[in-house]
Amino acid sequence: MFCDICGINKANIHFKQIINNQTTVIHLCEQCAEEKGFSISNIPSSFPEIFEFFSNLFKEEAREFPQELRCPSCGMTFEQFQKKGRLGCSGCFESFKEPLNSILQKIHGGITHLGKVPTYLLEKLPKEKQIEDLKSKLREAVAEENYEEAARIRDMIKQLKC
Amino acid sequence: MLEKYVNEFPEWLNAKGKFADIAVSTRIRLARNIKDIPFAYWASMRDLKRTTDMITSCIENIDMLKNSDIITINELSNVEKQFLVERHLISPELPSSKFGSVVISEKEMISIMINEEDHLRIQVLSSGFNLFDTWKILSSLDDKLSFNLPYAYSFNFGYLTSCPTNVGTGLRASVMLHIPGLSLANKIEKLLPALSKLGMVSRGFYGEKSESFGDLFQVSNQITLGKREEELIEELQKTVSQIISYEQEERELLKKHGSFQLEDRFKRAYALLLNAKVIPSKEAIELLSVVRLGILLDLLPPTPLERLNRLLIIIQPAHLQMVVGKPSGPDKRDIVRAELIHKEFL
Ligand SMILES: [Zn+2]
Ligand SMILES: [Zn+2]
Repeated sequence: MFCDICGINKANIHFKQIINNQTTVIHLCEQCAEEKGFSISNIPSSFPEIFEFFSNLFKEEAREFPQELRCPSCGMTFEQFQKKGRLGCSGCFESFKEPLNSILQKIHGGITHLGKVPTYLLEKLPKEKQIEDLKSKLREAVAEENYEEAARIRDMIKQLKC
Repeated sequence: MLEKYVNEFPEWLNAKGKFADIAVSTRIRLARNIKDIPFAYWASMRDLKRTTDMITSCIENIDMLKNSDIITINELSNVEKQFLVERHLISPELPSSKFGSVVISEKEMISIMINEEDHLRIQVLSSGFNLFDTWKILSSLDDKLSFNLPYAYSFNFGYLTSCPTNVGTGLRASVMLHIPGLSLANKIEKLLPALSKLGMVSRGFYGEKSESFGDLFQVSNQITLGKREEELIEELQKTVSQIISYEQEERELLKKHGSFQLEDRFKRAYALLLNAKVIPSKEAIELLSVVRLGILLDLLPPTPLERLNRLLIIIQPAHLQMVVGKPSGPDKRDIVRAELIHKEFL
Protein backbone atom coordinates (compact mmCIF):
# COMPACT_ATOMS: atom_id res chain seq x y z
CA MET A 1 0.00 0.00 0.00
CA PHE A 2 1.31 3.42 -0.95
CA CYS A 3 1.22 6.68 0.94
CA ASP A 4 -1.93 8.76 0.37
CA ILE A 5 0.01 11.99 0.11
CA CYS A 6 3.08 11.34 -1.98
CA GLY A 7 1.90 8.15 -3.63
CA ILE A 8 5.46 6.90 -3.79
CA ASN A 9 6.61 5.56 -0.46
CA LYS A 10 5.14 2.58 1.27
CA ALA A 11 2.56 3.61 3.85
CA ASN A 12 3.33 2.26 7.28
CA ILE A 13 1.31 4.65 9.41
CA HIS A 14 -2.48 4.25 9.30
CA PHE A 15 -5.19 6.39 10.82
CA LYS A 16 -8.83 5.45 11.15
CA GLN A 17 -11.56 8.01 11.57
CA ILE A 18 -15.28 7.50 12.04
CA ILE A 19 -17.66 10.36 11.30
CA ASN A 20 -21.43 9.75 11.03
CA ASN A 21 -20.83 6.02 10.87
CA GLN A 22 -18.53 6.44 7.88
CA THR A 23 -15.08 5.02 8.31
CA THR A 24 -12.17 6.65 6.59
CA VAL A 25 -8.66 5.26 6.70
CA ILE A 26 -5.60 7.29 5.85
CA HIS A 27 -2.31 5.70 4.99
CA LEU A 28 0.89 7.67 5.24
CA CYS A 29 4.57 7.08 4.86
CA GLU A 30 6.78 8.15 7.74
CA GLN A 31 8.20 11.02 5.78
CA CYS A 32 4.87 12.60 4.92
CA ALA A 33 3.52 11.99 8.41
CA GLU A 34 6.48 13.80 9.82
CA GLU A 35 6.17 16.60 7.31
CA LYS A 36 2.55 17.19 8.27
CA GLY A 37 3.71 17.54 11.86
CA PHE A 38 2.09 14.22 12.59
CA SER A 39 4.18 11.92 14.67
CA ILE A 40 2.68 9.52 17.17
CA SER A 41 3.43 11.94 19.98
CA ASN A 42 1.27 14.78 18.73
CA ILE A 43 -1.83 13.09 17.40
CA PRO A 44 -4.69 15.46 18.13
CA SER A 45 -6.97 14.04 20.75
CA SER A 46 -10.16 16.07 20.60
CA PHE A 47 -12.74 15.59 17.91
CA PRO A 48 -12.72 19.04 16.21
CA GLU A 49 -8.97 18.99 16.00
CA ILE A 50 -8.98 15.56 14.44
CA PHE A 51 -11.57 16.62 11.94
CA GLU A 52 -9.58 19.65 10.93
CA PHE A 53 -6.47 17.60 10.64
CA PHE A 54 -8.04 15.09 8.29
CA SER A 55 -9.78 17.63 6.15
CA ASN A 56 -6.45 19.34 5.65
CA LEU A 57 -4.91 16.06 4.64
CA PHE A 58 -7.58 15.50 2.03
CA LYS A 59 -7.04 18.93 0.63
CA GLU A 60 -3.43 17.97 0.14
CA GLU A 61 -4.42 14.70 -1.40
CA ALA A 62 -6.82 16.39 -3.79
CA ARG A 63 -3.92 18.15 -5.43
CA GLU A 64 -3.48 16.73 -8.84
CA PHE A 65 -0.79 14.15 -9.35
CA PRO A 66 -0.65 13.40 -13.05
CA GLN A 67 1.00 10.09 -13.74
CA GLU A 68 2.66 10.87 -17.08
CA LEU A 69 6.04 12.32 -16.23
CA ARG A 70 7.21 11.72 -12.69
CA CYS A 71 10.69 11.65 -11.23
CA PRO A 72 11.14 8.22 -9.66
CA SER A 73 13.72 9.47 -7.16
CA CYS A 74 11.70 12.21 -5.51
CA GLY A 75 8.16 11.84 -6.81
CA MET A 76 7.87 15.27 -8.37
CA THR A 77 5.79 15.41 -11.53
CA PHE A 78 6.71 17.59 -14.45
CA GLU A 79 3.51 19.52 -13.94
CA GLN A 80 4.46 20.30 -10.36
CA PHE A 81 7.82 21.49 -11.56
CA GLN A 82 6.16 23.78 -14.07
CA LYS A 83 3.87 25.24 -11.43
CA LYS A 84 6.63 25.93 -8.91
CA GLY A 85 9.53 26.49 -11.26
CA ARG A 86 11.66 24.41 -8.89
CA LEU A 87 12.96 20.88 -9.32
CA GLY A 88 12.66 18.28 -6.58
CA CYS A 89 16.02 16.50 -6.63
CA SER A 90 19.10 15.86 -8.74
CA GLY A 91 17.31 12.86 -10.26
CA CYS A 92 14.79 15.27 -11.85
CA PHE A 93 17.49 16.33 -14.31
CA GLU A 94 17.51 12.81 -15.73
CA SER A 95 13.75 12.27 -15.38
CA PHE A 96 12.80 15.50 -17.19
CA LYS A 97 15.81 15.55 -19.45
CA GLU A 98 14.08 16.30 -22.75
CA PRO A 99 11.91 19.24 -21.70
CA LEU A 100 14.63 20.53 -19.37
CA ASN A 101 17.21 20.68 -22.13
CA SER A 102 15.10 23.12 -24.07
CA ILE A 103 14.27 25.14 -20.95
CA LEU A 104 17.95 25.43 -20.06
CA GLN A 105 18.86 26.31 -23.61
CA LYS A 106 16.29 29.10 -23.53
CA ILE A 107 17.50 30.50 -20.21
CA HIS A 108 21.25 30.18 -20.67
CA GLY A 109 21.86 29.86 -24.38
CA GLY A 110 23.90 26.72 -23.71
CA ILE A 111 23.41 23.42 -21.94
CA THR A 112 26.93 22.22 -21.24
CA HIS A 113 28.67 23.03 -18.00
CA LEU A 114 32.22 24.25 -18.56
CA GLY A 115 33.03 25.39 -15.05
CA LYS A 116 34.34 23.88 -11.86
CA VAL A 117 34.29 20.27 -10.76
CA PRO A 118 33.76 19.47 -7.07
CA THR A 119 36.94 18.50 -5.24
CA TYR A 120 35.67 15.09 -4.19
CA LEU A 121 35.05 14.17 -7.83
CA LEU A 122 38.27 15.68 -9.16
CA GLU A 123 40.25 13.40 -6.95
CA LYS A 124 38.44 10.33 -8.15
CA LEU A 125 38.35 11.33 -11.75
CA PRO A 126 41.41 10.81 -13.91
CA LYS A 127 42.09 13.39 -16.58
CA GLU A 128 41.60 10.84 -19.34
CA LYS A 129 38.04 10.21 -18.20
CA GLN A 130 37.28 13.92 -18.17
CA ILE A 131 38.66 14.34 -21.65
CA GLU A 132 36.68 11.35 -22.86
CA ASP A 133 33.48 12.85 -21.48
CA LEU A 134 34.20 16.17 -23.09
CA LYS A 135 34.92 14.52 -26.44
CA SER A 136 31.53 12.88 -26.46
CA LYS A 137 29.96 16.22 -25.59
CA LEU A 138 31.90 17.76 -28.45
CA ARG A 139 30.52 15.19 -30.90
CA GLU A 140 27.01 15.95 -29.64
CA ALA A 141 27.48 19.67 -30.05
CA VAL A 142 28.77 19.26 -33.58
CA ALA A 143 25.90 16.94 -34.47
CA GLU A 144 23.51 19.63 -33.20
CA GLU A 145 25.42 22.19 -35.25
CA ASN A 146 25.99 24.13 -32.04
CA TYR A 147 29.40 25.37 -33.08
CA GLU A 148 29.79 27.98 -30.38
CA GLU A 149 29.36 25.30 -27.76
CA ALA A 150 31.68 23.00 -29.67
CA ALA A 151 34.41 25.63 -29.74
CA ARG A 152 34.15 26.08 -25.99
CA ILE A 153 34.38 22.36 -25.33
CA ARG A 154 37.37 22.11 -27.63
CA ASP A 155 39.09 24.81 -25.58
CA MET A 156 38.38 22.90 -22.40
CA ILE A 157 39.90 19.75 -23.84
CA LYS A 158 42.97 21.74 -24.80
CA GLN A 159 43.22 23.09 -21.27
CA LEU A 160 42.98 19.65 -19.75
CA LYS A 161 45.61 18.23 -22.06
CA CYS A 162 48.26 20.72 -21.10
CA MET B 1 20.89 36.62 20.16
CA LEU B 2 22.18 39.08 17.58
CA GLU B 3 23.25 41.82 20.02
CA LYS B 4 26.87 41.73 18.95
CA TYR B 5 25.90 42.53 15.36
CA VAL B 6 24.12 45.70 16.41
CA ASN B 7 27.32 47.31 17.66
CA GLU B 8 29.71 45.89 15.08
CA PHE B 9 29.93 46.64 11.42
CA PRO B 10 30.71 44.30 8.56
CA GLU B 11 34.04 44.75 6.83
CA TRP B 12 32.40 45.18 3.42
CA LEU B 13 31.03 48.56 4.52
CA ASN B 14 34.47 50.01 5.28
CA ALA B 15 34.86 51.71 1.86
CA LYS B 16 38.47 50.53 1.56
CA GLY B 17 37.93 48.66 -1.73
CA LYS B 18 38.64 49.89 -5.24
CA PHE B 19 36.31 52.56 -6.65
CA ALA B 20 34.51 52.69 -3.30
CA ASP B 21 33.18 56.15 -4.17
CA ILE B 22 30.94 54.47 -6.77
CA ALA B 23 30.99 50.75 -6.01
CA VAL B 24 29.70 50.19 -2.47
CA SER B 25 30.29 46.45 -2.38
CA THR B 26 30.88 43.25 -4.33
CA ARG B 27 29.08 40.01 -3.66
CA ILE B 28 29.37 36.57 -5.23
CA ARG B 29 27.36 33.53 -4.29
CA LEU B 30 27.33 29.88 -5.27
CA ALA B 31 24.28 27.62 -5.16
CA ARG B 32 25.10 24.06 -4.12
CA ASN B 33 23.18 20.95 -3.14
CA ILE B 34 24.10 17.66 -1.51
CA LYS B 35 23.90 14.52 -3.59
CA ASP B 36 21.01 12.08 -3.14
CA ILE B 37 18.97 14.35 -0.89
CA PRO B 38 15.90 16.12 -2.35
CA PHE B 39 16.29 19.88 -2.81
CA ALA B 40 15.40 21.87 0.28
CA TYR B 41 11.80 22.86 -0.34
CA TRP B 42 10.89 19.35 -1.51
CA ALA B 43 12.77 17.58 1.28
CA SER B 44 11.37 16.18 4.50
CA MET B 45 12.22 17.69 7.86
CA ARG B 46 14.47 14.72 8.51
CA ASP B 47 16.43 15.40 5.32
CA LEU B 48 16.73 19.09 6.14
CA LYS B 49 18.16 18.22 9.55
CA ARG B 50 20.56 15.84 7.86
CA THR B 51 21.86 18.46 5.43
CA THR B 52 22.28 20.90 8.30
CA ASP B 53 24.30 18.36 10.29
CA MET B 54 26.45 17.44 7.30
CA ILE B 55 27.22 21.06 6.48
CA THR B 56 27.85 22.27 10.02
CA SER B 57 30.18 19.38 10.77
CA CYS B 58 32.22 20.21 7.64
CA ILE B 59 32.52 23.81 8.68
CA GLU B 60 34.38 23.04 11.86
CA ASN B 61 37.43 21.94 9.89
CA ILE B 62 37.68 25.00 7.68
CA ASP B 63 40.04 27.76 8.76
CA MET B 64 38.20 30.55 7.00
CA LEU B 65 35.12 29.72 9.03
CA LYS B 66 36.81 29.58 12.40
CA ASN B 67 34.82 31.45 15.05
CA SER B 68 31.80 31.76 12.82
CA ASP B 69 28.27 31.82 14.21
CA ILE B 70 25.72 29.19 13.28
CA ILE B 71 22.23 30.58 13.67
CA THR B 72 19.01 28.61 13.41
CA ILE B 73 16.47 30.88 11.79
CA ASN B 74 13.44 29.43 13.59
CA GLU B 75 14.95 30.48 16.90
CA LEU B 76 14.94 34.16 15.93
CA SER B 77 12.24 36.75 16.41
CA ASN B 78 10.73 38.35 13.31
CA VAL B 79 12.73 41.50 13.90
CA GLU B 80 15.95 39.50 14.10
CA LYS B 81 15.14 37.67 10.87
CA GLN B 82 14.49 40.98 9.16
CA PHE B 83 17.72 42.33 10.63
CA LEU B 84 19.74 39.60 8.90
CA VAL B 85 17.95 40.31 5.62
CA GLU B 86 18.74 44.03 5.86
CA ARG B 87 22.32 43.13 6.65
CA HIS B 88 22.59 41.08 3.41
CA LEU B 89 23.41 37.97 5.40
CA ILE B 90 20.29 36.02 4.45
CA SER B 91 17.74 36.31 1.67
CA PRO B 92 14.15 37.36 2.37
CA GLU B 93 13.18 33.78 1.44
CA LEU B 94 15.24 31.94 4.06
CA PRO B 95 12.78 32.59 6.93
CA SER B 96 10.10 30.63 5.04
CA SER B 97 12.29 27.53 4.94
CA LYS B 98 11.05 24.78 7.28
CA PHE B 99 14.50 24.43 8.77
CA GLY B 100 16.88 27.15 7.66
CA SER B 101 20.16 28.21 9.23
CA VAL B 102 22.93 30.61 8.43
CA VAL B 103 26.64 30.44 9.08
CA ILE B 104 28.24 33.86 9.47
CA SER B 105 32.00 34.25 9.49
CA GLU B 106 34.00 36.79 11.43
CA LYS B 107 33.47 40.36 10.20
CA GLU B 108 30.56 39.08 8.10
CA MET B 109 32.67 38.38 5.05
CA ILE B 110 31.22 34.93 4.43
CA SER B 111 27.68 33.74 4.92
CA ILE B 112 26.34 30.29 4.14
CA MET B 113 22.60 29.89 4.03
CA ILE B 114 21.51 26.34 4.73
CA ASN B 115 18.26 24.98 3.30
CA GLU B 116 17.12 28.06 1.48
CA GLU B 117 16.02 27.04 -2.02
CA ASP B 118 19.24 25.03 -2.30
CA HIS B 119 20.98 23.17 0.51
CA LEU B 120 23.80 25.69 0.41
CA ARG B 121 24.06 29.28 -0.72
CA ILE B 122 27.63 30.32 -0.11
CA GLN B 123 28.36 34.04 -0.38
CA VAL B 124 31.36 36.27 0.03
CA LEU B 125 30.92 40.03 0.45
CA SER B 126 33.67 42.58 0.09
CA SER B 127 34.17 46.31 -0.11
CA GLY B 128 34.26 48.25 -3.38
CA PHE B 129 34.65 46.80 -6.87
CA ASN B 130 36.50 43.59 -6.17
CA LEU B 131 35.21 40.71 -8.28
CA PHE B 132 38.40 38.71 -8.81
CA ASP B 133 39.60 38.64 -5.20
CA THR B 134 36.12 37.88 -3.98
CA TRP B 135 35.90 34.99 -6.43
CA LYS B 136 39.25 33.62 -5.29
CA ILE B 137 38.09 33.50 -1.69
CA LEU B 138 34.72 32.00 -2.58
CA SER B 139 36.13 29.40 -4.94
CA SER B 140 38.68 28.18 -2.45
CA LEU B 141 36.03 27.95 0.26
CA ASP B 142 33.87 25.99 -2.18
CA ASP B 143 36.77 23.61 -2.88
CA LYS B 144 37.28 23.03 0.82
CA LEU B 145 33.61 22.34 1.39
CA SER B 146 33.36 19.96 -1.55
CA PHE B 147 36.29 17.97 -0.28
CA ASN B 148 33.96 16.48 2.31
CA LEU B 149 30.50 17.40 1.10
CA PRO B 150 29.36 15.32 -1.88
CA TYR B 151 27.72 17.99 -4.04
CA ALA B 152 24.96 17.14 -6.50
CA TYR B 153 26.81 17.42 -9.79
CA SER B 154 26.59 16.12 -13.32
CA PHE B 155 29.30 16.35 -15.94
CA ASN B 156 26.70 17.56 -18.36
CA PHE B 157 24.84 20.20 -16.38
CA GLY B 158 27.40 21.00 -13.70
CA TYR B 159 26.13 21.86 -10.22
CA LEU B 160 22.50 20.84 -9.95
CA THR B 161 20.15 23.38 -8.38
CA SER B 162 16.50 23.54 -7.58
CA CYS B 163 15.83 26.41 -9.97
CA PRO B 164 16.92 25.97 -13.61
CA THR B 165 18.15 29.57 -13.66
CA ASN B 166 21.04 28.64 -11.34
CA VAL B 167 22.14 25.35 -12.90
CA GLY B 168 25.74 24.97 -14.09
CA THR B 169 28.08 27.19 -12.16
CA GLY B 170 25.43 28.21 -9.61
CA LEU B 171 27.21 31.52 -9.65
CA ARG B 172 25.70 34.94 -9.21
CA ALA B 173 28.14 37.83 -8.94
CA SER B 174 26.98 41.35 -8.28
CA VAL B 175 28.31 44.81 -7.66
CA MET B 176 26.38 47.46 -5.78
CA LEU B 177 26.72 50.78 -7.55
CA HIS B 178 25.82 54.28 -6.43
CA ILE B 179 25.33 56.24 -9.65
CA PRO B 180 23.67 59.58 -8.87
CA GLY B 181 25.61 61.30 -11.67
CA LEU B 182 24.02 59.11 -14.32
CA SER B 183 20.71 59.59 -12.61
CA LEU B 184 21.00 63.41 -12.66
CA ALA B 185 21.84 63.20 -16.38
CA ASN B 186 18.73 61.05 -16.93
CA LYS B 187 20.82 58.23 -18.32
CA ILE B 188 19.61 55.40 -16.10
CA GLU B 189 16.60 54.66 -18.29
CA LYS B 190 18.94 53.98 -21.19
CA LEU B 191 21.45 52.06 -19.14
CA LEU B 192 19.16 49.43 -17.68
CA PRO B 193 17.79 48.01 -20.95
CA ALA B 194 21.33 47.97 -22.39
CA LEU B 195 22.41 45.84 -19.44
CA SER B 196 19.84 43.18 -20.12
CA LYS B 197 21.08 42.92 -23.69
CA LEU B 198 24.52 42.10 -22.28
CA GLY B 199 23.07 39.32 -20.16
CA MET B 200 23.18 41.35 -16.97
CA VAL B 201 20.40 42.28 -14.59
CA SER B 202 19.97 45.22 -12.32
CA ARG B 203 18.04 45.42 -9.09
CA GLY B 204 17.51 47.98 -6.39
CA PHE B 205 19.63 47.95 -3.28
CA TYR B 206 16.80 47.41 -0.85
CA GLY B 207 15.32 44.01 -1.61
CA GLU B 208 15.38 42.01 -4.82
CA LYS B 209 12.01 43.06 -6.15
CA SER B 210 11.68 46.55 -4.79
CA GLU B 211 12.19 49.53 -7.05
CA SER B 212 15.50 51.23 -6.60
CA PHE B 213 15.90 54.06 -4.11
CA GLY B 214 18.77 56.44 -3.68
CA ASP B 215 20.36 55.75 -7.08
CA LEU B 216 21.69 52.43 -5.80
CA PHE B 217 21.74 49.57 -8.27
CA GLN B 218 22.94 46.03 -8.00
CA VAL B 219 24.28 44.76 -11.32
CA SER B 220 24.74 41.00 -11.74
CA ASN B 221 25.15 38.23 -14.30
CA GLN B 222 22.01 36.50 -15.46
CA ILE B 223 23.14 33.22 -16.98
CA THR B 224 24.98 30.50 -15.09
CA LEU B 225 25.39 27.65 -17.58
CA GLY B 226 27.57 27.24 -20.68
CA LYS B 227 30.37 29.53 -19.55
CA ARG B 228 33.21 29.14 -17.10
CA GLU B 229 33.02 31.01 -13.79
CA GLU B 230 35.93 33.23 -14.78
CA GLU B 231 34.22 34.12 -18.04
CA LEU B 232 31.03 35.14 -16.27
CA ILE B 233 33.01 37.26 -13.84
CA GLU B 234 35.11 38.79 -16.61
CA GLU B 235 31.98 39.86 -18.47
CA LEU B 236 30.52 41.47 -15.37
CA GLN B 237 33.87 43.12 -14.69
CA LYS B 238 33.81 44.74 -18.14
CA THR B 239 30.22 45.92 -17.84
CA VAL B 240 30.68 47.38 -14.37
CA SER B 241 33.96 49.08 -15.34
CA GLN B 242 32.08 50.73 -18.17
CA ILE B 243 29.31 51.97 -15.90
CA ILE B 244 31.87 53.27 -13.41
CA SER B 245 33.66 55.26 -16.09
CA TYR B 246 30.36 56.75 -17.30
CA GLU B 247 29.56 57.77 -13.75
CA GLN B 248 33.03 59.30 -13.35
CA GLU B 249 32.50 61.34 -16.52
CA GLU B 250 29.20 62.67 -15.22
CA ARG B 251 30.78 63.60 -11.91
CA GLU B 252 33.62 65.41 -13.71
CA LEU B 253 31.05 67.39 -15.68
CA LEU B 254 29.21 68.29 -12.49
CA LYS B 255 32.46 69.44 -10.91
CA LYS B 256 33.35 71.61 -13.90
CA HIS B 257 29.98 73.08 -14.68
CA GLY B 258 28.42 72.86 -11.24
CA SER B 259 25.72 75.47 -10.78
CA PHE B 260 24.29 77.37 -7.84
CA GLN B 261 21.21 75.21 -8.21
CA LEU B 262 23.22 72.06 -7.77
CA GLU B 263 25.06 73.37 -4.75
CA ASP B 264 21.78 74.54 -3.30
CA ARG B 265 20.38 71.07 -3.70
CA PHE B 266 23.26 69.47 -1.82
CA LYS B 267 23.14 72.01 0.98
CA ARG B 268 19.40 71.69 1.42
CA ALA B 269 19.62 67.91 1.62
CA TYR B 270 22.45 68.22 4.12
CA ALA B 271 20.54 70.70 6.25
CA LEU B 272 17.51 68.42 6.27
CA LEU B 273 19.53 65.38 7.31
CA LEU B 274 21.19 67.30 10.12
CA ASN B 275 18.11 69.01 11.46
CA ALA B 276 15.03 66.94 10.77
CA LYS B 277 13.39 65.41 13.84
CA VAL B 278 11.38 62.78 11.98
CA ILE B 279 12.68 61.03 8.85
CA PRO B 280 10.87 58.19 7.08
CA SER B 281 13.07 55.51 5.55
CA LYS B 282 12.62 56.38 1.89
CA GLU B 283 13.30 60.07 2.45
CA ALA B 284 16.45 59.26 4.41
CA ILE B 285 17.77 57.08 1.60
CA GLU B 286 17.12 59.73 -1.04
CA LEU B 287 18.71 62.47 1.06
CA LEU B 288 21.75 60.32 1.82
CA SER B 289 22.23 59.70 -1.88
CA VAL B 290 22.29 63.44 -2.64
CA VAL B 291 24.53 64.22 0.34
CA ARG B 292 26.94 61.45 -0.59
CA LEU B 293 27.43 62.94 -4.03
CA GLY B 294 27.79 66.43 -2.58
CA ILE B 295 30.53 65.23 -0.23
CA LEU B 296 32.37 63.43 -3.05
CA LEU B 297 32.23 66.59 -5.19
CA ASP B 298 33.68 68.63 -2.28
CA LEU B 299 30.59 70.77 -2.08
CA LEU B 300 29.77 69.60 1.44
CA PRO B 301 31.96 69.16 4.54
CA PRO B 302 34.08 66.01 4.26
CA THR B 303 32.66 62.88 5.89
CA PRO B 304 34.26 59.42 5.79
CA LEU B 305 32.62 57.18 3.17
CA GLU B 306 32.55 54.37 5.68
CA ARG B 307 30.05 56.31 7.77
CA LEU B 308 27.84 56.97 4.79
CA ASN B 309 27.93 53.27 3.92
CA ARG B 310 26.98 52.31 7.45
CA LEU B 311 24.06 54.68 7.38
CA LEU B 312 22.65 52.88 4.34
CA ILE B 313 22.34 49.79 6.52
CA ILE B 314 21.47 51.07 9.97
CA ILE B 315 18.58 53.32 8.99
CA GLN B 316 16.52 50.29 7.95
CA PRO B 317 13.51 49.36 10.12
CA ALA B 318 14.76 46.18 11.80
CA HIS B 319 18.14 47.73 12.51
CA LEU B 320 16.46 50.67 14.23
CA GLN B 321 14.17 48.33 16.09
CA MET B 322 17.18 46.43 17.44
CA VAL B 323 18.78 49.67 18.57
CA VAL B 324 15.63 50.82 20.32
CA GLY B 325 15.27 47.43 21.95
CA LYS B 326 11.56 47.29 22.62
CA PRO B 327 8.92 47.02 19.92
CA SER B 328 8.02 50.38 18.44
CA GLY B 329 5.86 51.65 15.64
CA PRO B 330 7.01 53.36 12.47
CA ASP B 331 6.55 56.84 13.99
CA LYS B 332 8.98 56.10 16.79
CA ARG B 333 11.38 54.58 14.28
CA ASP B 334 11.33 57.74 12.18
CA ILE B 335 12.37 59.73 15.23
CA VAL B 336 15.14 57.31 16.17
CA ARG B 337 16.32 57.30 12.56
CA ALA B 338 16.69 61.07 12.62
CA GLU B 339 18.66 60.92 15.88
CA LEU B 340 20.96 58.22 14.52
CA ILE B 341 21.73 60.22 11.42
CA HIS B 342 22.59 63.32 13.47
CA LYS B 343 25.00 61.26 15.57
CA GLU B 344 26.82 59.88 12.53
CA PHE B 345 27.33 63.34 11.07
CA LEU B 346 28.53 64.98 14.30
ZN1 LIG C 1 4.46 9.89 1.58
ZN1 LIG D 1 13.40 14.27 -8.62
